[in-house]
Amino acid sequence: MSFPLVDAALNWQSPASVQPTRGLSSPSPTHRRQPDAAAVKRQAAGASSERTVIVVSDQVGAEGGFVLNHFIHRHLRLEEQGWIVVLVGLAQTWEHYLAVGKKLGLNIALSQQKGRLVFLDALTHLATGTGPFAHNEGATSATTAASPLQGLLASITAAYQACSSSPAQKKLCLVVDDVSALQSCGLPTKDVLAFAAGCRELVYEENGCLVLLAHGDSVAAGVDDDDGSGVICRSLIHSATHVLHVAALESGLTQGVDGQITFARGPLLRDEEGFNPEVLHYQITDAQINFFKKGFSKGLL
Amino acid sequence: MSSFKRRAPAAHPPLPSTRISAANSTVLTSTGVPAIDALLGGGLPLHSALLLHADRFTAYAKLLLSYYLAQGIASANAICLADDDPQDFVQNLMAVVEGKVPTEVSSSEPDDEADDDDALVLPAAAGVRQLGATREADDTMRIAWRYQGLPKFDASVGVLGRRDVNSQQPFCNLFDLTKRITAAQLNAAGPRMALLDVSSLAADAEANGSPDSPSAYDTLIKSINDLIDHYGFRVRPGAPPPPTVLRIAIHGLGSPTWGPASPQRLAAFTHSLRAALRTSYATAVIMIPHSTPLATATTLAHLTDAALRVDSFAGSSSPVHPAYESQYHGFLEVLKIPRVGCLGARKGDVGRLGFKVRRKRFAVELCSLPPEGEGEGRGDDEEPAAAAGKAKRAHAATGGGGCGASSGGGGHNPLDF
Repeated sequence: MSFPLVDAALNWQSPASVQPTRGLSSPSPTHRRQPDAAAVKRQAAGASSERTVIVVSDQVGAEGGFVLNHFIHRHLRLEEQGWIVVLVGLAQTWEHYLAVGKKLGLNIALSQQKGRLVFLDALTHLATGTGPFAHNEGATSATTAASPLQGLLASITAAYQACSSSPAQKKLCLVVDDVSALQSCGLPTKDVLAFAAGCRELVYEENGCLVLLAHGDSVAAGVDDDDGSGVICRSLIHSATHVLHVAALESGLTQGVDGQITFARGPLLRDEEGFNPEVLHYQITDAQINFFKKGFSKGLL
Repeated sequence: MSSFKRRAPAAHPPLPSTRISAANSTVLTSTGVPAIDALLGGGLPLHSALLLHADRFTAYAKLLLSYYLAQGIASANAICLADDDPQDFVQNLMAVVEGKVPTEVSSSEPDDEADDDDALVLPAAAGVRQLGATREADDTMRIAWRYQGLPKFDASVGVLGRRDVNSQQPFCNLFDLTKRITAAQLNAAGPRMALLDVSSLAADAEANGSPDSPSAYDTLIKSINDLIDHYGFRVRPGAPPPPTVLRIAIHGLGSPTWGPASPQRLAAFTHSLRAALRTSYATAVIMIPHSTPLATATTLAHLTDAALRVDSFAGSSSPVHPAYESQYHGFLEVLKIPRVGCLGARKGDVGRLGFKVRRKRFAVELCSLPPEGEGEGRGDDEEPAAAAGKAKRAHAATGGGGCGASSGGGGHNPLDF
């Protein structure tokens, strides 16, 4: 499932409007509840998600991992456009994404078999520096083994290039679940930022879409952190086109609303692209995720 | 022929003393405290870690860790404890009450006196209750008939601990804090217990001296991984699951006795532990001392799957409302609920949670202040039934559940603990 309201907030064309053949699957209930807002947004010239860098910042009380599912599923649904999703999991294993994908109505195992989704398990390999971190290209390994992140970037590139695509032109959607974990586990901040810059470069080359999750507890609180955990989040925001702040409800806790996402303009978004900052509320249930406009929650109405 | 078929039985028998979550079909284990289980969405899911922020001056978080271990021993799970003095920790665990599971606090024993009754004196207590029966009938609060069928307001969280029908082992046991675990139980659990003495690991690391030698944290994560591999807790595709699950308890992660530790080292340890958990049939509870800096604690909370903060009133730096102080021992804050293999819906009502420790119960309730003026009028127990509505409200707010008059002995001020 991808979420029309999120696409509308980003001013992107929803996969539902791109692919009218998807008539069998009913639109999501949240969409049906506020048809006017979403439809009007979609009719306005919806841009595509090409050449975008999205930074999702979250907090302990309001985890942002669920937002990544939207981007994974959205780009897997846009099969005709040749999107290939590379998912780097530092926070969760493949089983998690599989189970969540099933709940949201997309069999990502099938996409993996078709070669449209590549999962790189960085969680279990980070401590040992094996797996995707130990990618070396022939003889240069001795000199370039400086940072395991260079290995990870090489693995991402290799995985993407190994994917075949039916349209001649393929596009990369790179999703990194939890960039902050790299830094908090002791990798130097400048290496992590270099990795992020490398990802950005790759995505721009391939007309793709980069989605990075970083923890911004101290950024949201506006305090100076002494251990530099907010540096990653702050720096990533500076080179983003869209910034999504996931936070607890600013007005406190409410039944039926788990938190809010602020869609903000990033510094790299070009001025001619129409984009209006917006705040959506969300609720996570066991079966699905509900997004709604401010004040439109079932718990409030 | 009907297209509805019975689902084929699972290829492997379910792990003992676990439960499949009805909401999101993850495999759950109990933390030993039904209220905490309920807050986490039914229990601590397999492959996940719970972070406990310790309280100041008191040891309620350590008590929760003890419950987790005691539940592991009662369920015959494998146990791995990392502590400065693990032997001492294990010997001081609470005793399990055999043959009983925590039940819903019914209106016949809503208060804590009844809670403190031993099983042996229960008949006598029942007698007392019968004596007061006539009074009870008089005092039953009258409410409009249309509300009589509705469930009673109950602020307490997760007092239900059902025995699972299809498994021999109860999901969660009842524990008695006044007794210690018997030597026989400890000996029986001995072969399944791995006690890792971290202070000796730290001493070894210090004796080595050289900066390249592994620290206590490296040694600890390596021994945990060795345990998982050696005793077959690792998830292997196609292979049957082990006969039981592994519980990893880490007491005082990052405390000064563990040797020098940068926040990065703690985070790397937690991340490695998470990786180990995700690939094995295990759960973990990590307790970090109160002295942990906030930024480090936040980073660790991001790297674990669930996080709870325990704040006792005794160690509170800011003054607490006296009404809270008389009812609870401290506040409990759920920072994060486990989301492993599921979307993870937030459970329970919105509001501040308070906890109180009773002999056989670690109760967590929604905090609410009693109505203005309540609690000052001491000795109002002989008030006519007309005032029962007020008492009921006050008592429901204290979370005792049930009317004032049904509180066993009668003549008991609901606020008078």
